[in-house]
Amino acid sequence: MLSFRGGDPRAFEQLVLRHRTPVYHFILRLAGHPARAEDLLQETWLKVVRGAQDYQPRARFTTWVYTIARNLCVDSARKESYRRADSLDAPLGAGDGEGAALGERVPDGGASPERGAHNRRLQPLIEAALRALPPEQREVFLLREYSGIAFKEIAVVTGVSENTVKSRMRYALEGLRRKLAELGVDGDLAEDGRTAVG
Amino acid sequence: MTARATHVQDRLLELTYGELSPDESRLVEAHVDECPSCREALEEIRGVRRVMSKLSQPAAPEGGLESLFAYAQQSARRASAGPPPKSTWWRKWLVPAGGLAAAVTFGIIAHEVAQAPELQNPREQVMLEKLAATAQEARAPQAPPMEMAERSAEPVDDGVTLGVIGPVAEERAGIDQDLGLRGSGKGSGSGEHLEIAAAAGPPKEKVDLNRRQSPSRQGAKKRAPAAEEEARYADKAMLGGSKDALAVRRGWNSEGGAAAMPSRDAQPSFAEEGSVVAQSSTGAGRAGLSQPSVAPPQAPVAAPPTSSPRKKADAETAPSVAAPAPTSAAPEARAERKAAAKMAPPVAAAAPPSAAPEANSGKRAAAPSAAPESAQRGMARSEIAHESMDLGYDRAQSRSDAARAQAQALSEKAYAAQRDGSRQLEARYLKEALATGVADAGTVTNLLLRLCDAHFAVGNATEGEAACERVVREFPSSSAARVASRRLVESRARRGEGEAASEPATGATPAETPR
Repeated sequence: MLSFRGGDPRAFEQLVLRHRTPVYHFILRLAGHPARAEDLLQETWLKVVRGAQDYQPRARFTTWVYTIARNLCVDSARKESYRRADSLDAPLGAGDGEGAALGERVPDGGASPERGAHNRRLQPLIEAALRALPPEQREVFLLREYSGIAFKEIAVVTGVSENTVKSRMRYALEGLRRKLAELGVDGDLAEDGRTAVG
Repeated sequence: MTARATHVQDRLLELTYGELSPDESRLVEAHVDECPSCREALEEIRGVRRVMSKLSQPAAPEGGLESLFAYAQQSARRASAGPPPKSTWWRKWLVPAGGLAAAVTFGIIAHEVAQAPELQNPREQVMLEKLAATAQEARAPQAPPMEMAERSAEPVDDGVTLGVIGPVAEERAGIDQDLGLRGSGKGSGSGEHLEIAAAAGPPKEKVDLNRRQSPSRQGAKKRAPAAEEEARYADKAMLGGSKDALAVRRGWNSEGGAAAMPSRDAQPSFAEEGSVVAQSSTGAGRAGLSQPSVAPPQAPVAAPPTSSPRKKADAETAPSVAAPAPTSAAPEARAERKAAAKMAPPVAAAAPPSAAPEANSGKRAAAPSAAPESAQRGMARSEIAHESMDLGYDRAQSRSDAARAQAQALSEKAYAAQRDGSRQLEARYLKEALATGVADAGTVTNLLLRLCDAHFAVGNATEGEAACERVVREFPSSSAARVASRRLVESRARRGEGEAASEPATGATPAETPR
């Protein structure tokens, strides 16, 4: 980021290529709408460019980017609260109650056919469990689980204390466990025992 | 959940996400091995994480990347070019302050232009002033000027001006006295005095006049061309005898409009105008309302412009105010004005009887200002009068406007008489209109041409030719002069003097026109 601020545009390209997917994922899971997530992602990077001259290396770049993205998502959620937002679980077919849900159309990261089929069955359940979390817990879980942001930095991003972040994380994990149990999903469904991060 | 349990849960989270140091990790793992609840809790966390790791992470859309990179490149170029200048407080206020200053400057300039008569359209300004003067005259035609009394109370700090204006007041006093003898006793003749002063003053004196008027450049600017014109006509009048002197006097009476429009309206020759007036008045014998002339008409003829007797007379008439005069030209100017004042009596003979009550200018012009008692009283009132020069000019212009209005009224009567077939009456009205002292070139030429036609119509070729000759003489370059020349030729041809008829026409060239 300091290189980009010094006038190197390629530094910014590297930053974008490195962080755009996790940031997009965070935005998508937090905003809940792919098109809106795309707009918010673009706006996030534009803000990064505009704020490059004011960037101070007191925190990690990821912390800064996620702070921007999170604030944009919060603002967007406030605006969208006055509108009717499409649910990821809402069927796309109008009136018939059938068809693939929006969450099911989210492309998979690539896997073998078997695992792909397994994940296709598992995705809606996981997304439903994640969507069931309150936003403040969901954002902490997303940042920690998928973006690899430390609790201390999550506290900076969300503007709360680190203990609050850990508390929200505990509640998020407990809520996910209960929701997955309700949905019939437990840890045994994971084939290889891997986690998203770490 | 107790505080200890919470602390243990937090440590388990940190252990799960690898945020503990190796030593802390070993300690927590040792505790978990010995604590079944913590081991169960750790397993639950890891189970949830295993499930949630199956959540797909879609790739970010590629759309907008190019534009984003282009934008970043442009921003990087700007960054490498250097930081933009910091917006200081004075930079923020520079543009609005500059705009405000420009607006204020423009407003001041516009106001100054609106106030400066020399930058205005002279014709428009004259029209406005005439309208105002006409309205004022209509409201109080005989009212004494209150402004004059107010102005007379102003302190006099310019000795030169006092020396210049003293005789003017003297003349005014004389005229006022004459008006009083005639029972009028109202109004101020300061307008004439101003023009007399300007006409008699040499250029140096005009400079003094302007100095005095420096707070109000308007009056000085207006008087400057008028003073030159009148100076010429005054000289000519003095050389030409009492008849021309009368003409000068009449010209002064109607100076206001001409001075305001020096480009075109300052053209009329006051001397010739006066001569016609003298002819008409003597022919009709209607000078009974005016006081008989006291001063000898030939006095101006014998008065050279810089003669010592006139200096002496000046010293006698205005001793108090002439003393501080620093310029040597002032006595001469005063002497000339004195002489011009002595020329005034013929005007009395020329004043038309139909100078109706509203024709104040005509009455004042007819006043024999050279009466001895008038001069004495004029000396006493000179200090009042010289302060009213500005007002006098305005008064003169107002009277000129009144004269013009009167001339137009008489012109309308003449038209009516013409329609009725009474050309004799028409000629009479036209003569009276000309005798009002109207100085507007268009009006005068129109009246003269109509007078010419009227005389020709009734068979009075001599009078008709005189009117036409006056047009040719006074307005040689005008279209009316060409018409008049043609009528002269025709008239003289009719009278068998065709050969001599071409001379006035050739004399109509500006070079040969007596000025």
